[in-house]
Amino acid sequence: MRWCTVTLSVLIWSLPIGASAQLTLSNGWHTLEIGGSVSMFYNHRILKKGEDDSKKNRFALRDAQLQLKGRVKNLVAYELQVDVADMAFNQNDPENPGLMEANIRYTGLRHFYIKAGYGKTPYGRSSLVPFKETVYWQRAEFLRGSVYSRRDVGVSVGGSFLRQLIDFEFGVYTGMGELTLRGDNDASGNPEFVGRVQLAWPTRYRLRDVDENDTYLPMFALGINGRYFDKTQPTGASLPAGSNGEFGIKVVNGSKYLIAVDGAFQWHGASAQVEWHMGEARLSNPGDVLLQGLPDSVTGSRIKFGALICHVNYHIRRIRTTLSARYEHYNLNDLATGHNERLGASVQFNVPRLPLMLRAQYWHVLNEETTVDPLKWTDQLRIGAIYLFE
Amino acid sequence: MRPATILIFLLQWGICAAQKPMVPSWSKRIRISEPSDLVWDTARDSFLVVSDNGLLYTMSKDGEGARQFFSKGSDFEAITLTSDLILAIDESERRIYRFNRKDLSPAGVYPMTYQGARNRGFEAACHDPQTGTTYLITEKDPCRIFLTDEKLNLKGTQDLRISADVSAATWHNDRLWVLSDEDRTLMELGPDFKVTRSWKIKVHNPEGFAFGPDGNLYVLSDDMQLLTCFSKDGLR
Repeated sequence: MRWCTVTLSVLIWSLPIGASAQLTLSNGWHTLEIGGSVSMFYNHRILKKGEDDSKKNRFALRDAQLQLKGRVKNLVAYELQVDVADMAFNQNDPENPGLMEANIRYTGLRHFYIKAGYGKTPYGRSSLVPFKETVYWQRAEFLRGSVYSRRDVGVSVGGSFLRQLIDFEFGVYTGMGELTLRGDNDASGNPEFVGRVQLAWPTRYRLRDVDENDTYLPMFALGINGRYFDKTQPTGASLPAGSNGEFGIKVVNGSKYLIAVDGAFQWHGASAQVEWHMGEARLSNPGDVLLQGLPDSVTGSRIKFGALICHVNYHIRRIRTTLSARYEHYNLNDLATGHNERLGASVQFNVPRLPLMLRAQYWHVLNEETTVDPLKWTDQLRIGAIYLFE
Repeated sequence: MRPATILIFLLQWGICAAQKPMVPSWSKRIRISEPSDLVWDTARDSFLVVSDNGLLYTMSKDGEGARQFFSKGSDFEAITLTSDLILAIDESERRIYRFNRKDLSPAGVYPMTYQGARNRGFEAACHDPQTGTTYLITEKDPCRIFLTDEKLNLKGTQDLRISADVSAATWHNDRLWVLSDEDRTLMELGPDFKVTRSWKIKVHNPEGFAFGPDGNLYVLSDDMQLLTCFSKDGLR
């Protein structure tokens, strides 16, 4: 590991030299902000006995992002965000895709906005928190975009009331998630409906996991989320390849709903997030592999899935360091044996006077649902740096 | 006053009492959304207040009677008075809106280029009437003072390394005073821009402050939409 540490250190400290600052251009009417980020890590897995495939022990460029955010007075806002690192090899990682945002918001109404284009769907707090505002290299497994679409093309209406104590967004999307960029919907042509409402007290609660400002008022937020589609395929048709995701439940031949409740708290550097998801898919084909070969009389052609994810974080402002722990409990198919449990921890150090973050994340698998998501590893460590162009 | 406001005030006061920072005399929710800075206008016997929505208001010393008189900005973050003008700083647009102090009529818009992040532009402004110097200060990364003359011609710059950020500034008793939102600290600076005195201000998200005609300190909370008054006795 020593050569890895030395190499990583050299790379981390050489990053700022090549990066430039965020820019804002304005003619008084139109304001354009240019930013981005570069992040890289070294990943090391501890494999199960008998496993010898160590291909995941590697350096990786996670992000090479370019972000353009613009405003035309208070009438229109737009955003284009791309990750060249993922685009270069046409990767379609739903957690971190090549095209991240491409949308326009009409903000000329007092309490509402109308948003159109491609971007994050308003479902689940953790999915909505920007990567730079978390302290983990990877989101909890259930939230990474293999169970539901984190991004999609559609139209939504959002807004806020009462000093932004109440925020909401409801939208209609293709339901195909990141794959919608290929162009077509599935054969059913049906959309997905997604919505979220957040209540905060005693002040508005931004989408951040860490209390970097050592907030002296205890702050709370409660989010209620839901999404639904019916993509029952016409006779003889099938879902587009890859649309069902890593676990086969992202888009299904049938209808599917997910609901989630999330909570967040922060006070004096301490913060916590809890997120609970519960979903059900009603499959139109009694022989669907998701039904595990069980008879319809047992399954009712339904599967259920859900998750509980908890984070606790503490930011020590004086040394610009955040400590975090995570617990994940998720079940990807109630008809399959077992469930998944993971523990995680993370440490992040914000380098003084630079938009540079050094981040280390550790995973430990407590339980796995071997029939749905068999793993070759028991533990994983990822350490690296994130440089923001801002 | 609504129960929630009273509860917040009591919570705020209770925590202040425990930590011995400046204790607020009173807090009041104001009818201005996302207020970001204020300045006392003696001639009008009222505060002038700017908001993140690009709006300008007049407001009485007790936080009542907010009246909007301009709505064509985008993101006002600071306001100050020169001998005959009101300057409202639009952080996103990188522009300074000018108004005649006499009748609040518009007196032109002045571009002020700054190539940092959109929300890390000019966040604070104040004016020294003795020398005619206007101070424009960027929020963070870096906090930098731009010194200009009455006509906003740049005279020099000075980096400030005294706090995590700067959210507001004012000229008072021949000294530059700055407020840090993230540190929740009010600082009095000497001629060399070093901190001579500082006070912890237990206000959530303090975005603006001013000294009233009574010498008391008035602090605006953006997120809470609160005006909090601190007695001048606490500043001794």
